[in-house]
Amino acid sequence: MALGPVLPDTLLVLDTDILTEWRYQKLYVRQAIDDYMASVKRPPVLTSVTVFEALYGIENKEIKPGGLNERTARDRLEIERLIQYCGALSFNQTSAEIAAYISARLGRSKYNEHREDIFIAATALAHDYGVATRNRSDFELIANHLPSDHALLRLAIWKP
Amino acid sequence: MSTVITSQYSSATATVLAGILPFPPPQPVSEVSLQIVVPDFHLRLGFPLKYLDLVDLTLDIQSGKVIFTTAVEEDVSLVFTLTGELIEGGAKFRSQEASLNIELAAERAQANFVASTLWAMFGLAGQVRVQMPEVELDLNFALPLLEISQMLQRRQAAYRLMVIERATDRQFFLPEHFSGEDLSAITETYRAIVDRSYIGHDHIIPLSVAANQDGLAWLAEHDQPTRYQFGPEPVDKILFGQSIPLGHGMAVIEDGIILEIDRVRAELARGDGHLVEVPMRSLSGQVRYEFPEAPHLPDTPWPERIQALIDLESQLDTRHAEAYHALAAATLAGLTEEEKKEITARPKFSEEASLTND
Repeated sequence: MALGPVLPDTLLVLDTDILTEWRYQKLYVRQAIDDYMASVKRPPVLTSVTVFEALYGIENKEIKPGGLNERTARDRLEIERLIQYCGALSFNQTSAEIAAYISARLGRSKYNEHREDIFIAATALAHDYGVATRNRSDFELIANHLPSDHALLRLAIWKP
Repeated sequence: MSTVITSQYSSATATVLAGILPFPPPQPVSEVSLQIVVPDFHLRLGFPLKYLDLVDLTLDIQSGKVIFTTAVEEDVSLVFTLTGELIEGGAKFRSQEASLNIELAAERAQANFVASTLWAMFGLAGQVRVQMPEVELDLNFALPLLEISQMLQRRQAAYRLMVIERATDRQFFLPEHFSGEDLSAITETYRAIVDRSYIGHDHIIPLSVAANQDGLAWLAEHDQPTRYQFGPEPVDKILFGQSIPLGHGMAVIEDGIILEIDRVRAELARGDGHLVEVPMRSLSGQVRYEFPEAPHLPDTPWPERIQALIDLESQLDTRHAEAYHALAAATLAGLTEEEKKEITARPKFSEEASLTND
């Protein structure tokens, strides 16, 4: 299994669920981010997939009757600001190659179930980052489909 | 890792919360001491007399600027530029805006540490008070958060280099930009000195085993996670072109596994004595490097003033993280629980938009 723990200086991307929990200011995420930032002196980054997922909610709200109100419009600016300050790793060619390798071996139903996680894992692997997530089993499944000589997918499991 | 840290102590503008100076400003004399007080950090920094004769104060009435240049540490100067106007019939100067530059005479590790610490602290503090006799300024710097993060990264690298310098009796000059590879070399050398070991990423290690009965027996003992040790052997790290001897070092893998084991077994079974390449890696992707003979730090490595700046670390970290927490919290500020749920829902698409077959 190409899965391993994060090392003291491993840089991390946030899984979308963790980003959401951070936006809700869940204590366990705040504490994990405190520890992480004390170690590496920078915030965790996002992947372009998580940026998509975070902005999707706003866009989806905008096209509904009533659209964005003043508060949601302001919060859209704030999420864009957070993305800018944390930074986002692009889904590049290497990410695409990794994602294709994993997806083909997972099969249709698992692919559909884990599509975003595959893209997040592939992006993290392509940029030599680890993933901070609550969902060990989902990423374990993805890591199980990496070649045995591939760089390990490193996970930081953050849970309440 | 492509991380690059750059050195930028260029201009930071501050709002002047309070700042009226006598005019003409007092000329500095040798007894003058400049104090920087940062209430949020419970910190008062006084600069020693030996640097005060370097204090320079100039006044340019035409442009309405007063400039204080103060050497706060060897190779580090703070340049405060106050913009304002004369008031009370020319007896006083009221400052309306201030800017700060930190100038380094040489890109030494300690100078960078001091500069980046001050820069990050000023950016994270709500109020900075600059005091000289008859002069008191209350400033509020607004530094971009990204710049503060960069300063804290540079501070960390500079501190680690200071540790390496003190332990090895060398000096380093930091380039304006340094890469992820430079950072890794700094971190590994620092950990070898301070912790006597560090955990590094694994890579695939090619072992050579003869294709004979002994080789097969070896494989039988190693077909499950096994401890491997390499060394001890002399280790030097290269830092900014300088070779740093760390004494004899060892690499230990606690859970090494053989890759391509079926191919390896088949080749060993040929029994013709040829050397079979056996790829091995750590199951958990970790190699522990141990340096029992690495240089040591002296018991009291830093003067008091530098130690005070080192001791700011946890406060800087807390405020730094808090600034990012505030950004994250602002993304849902003022929304109802229902709106939050709606906005943070992950997208769901039909399977028709996905793969069409297994």
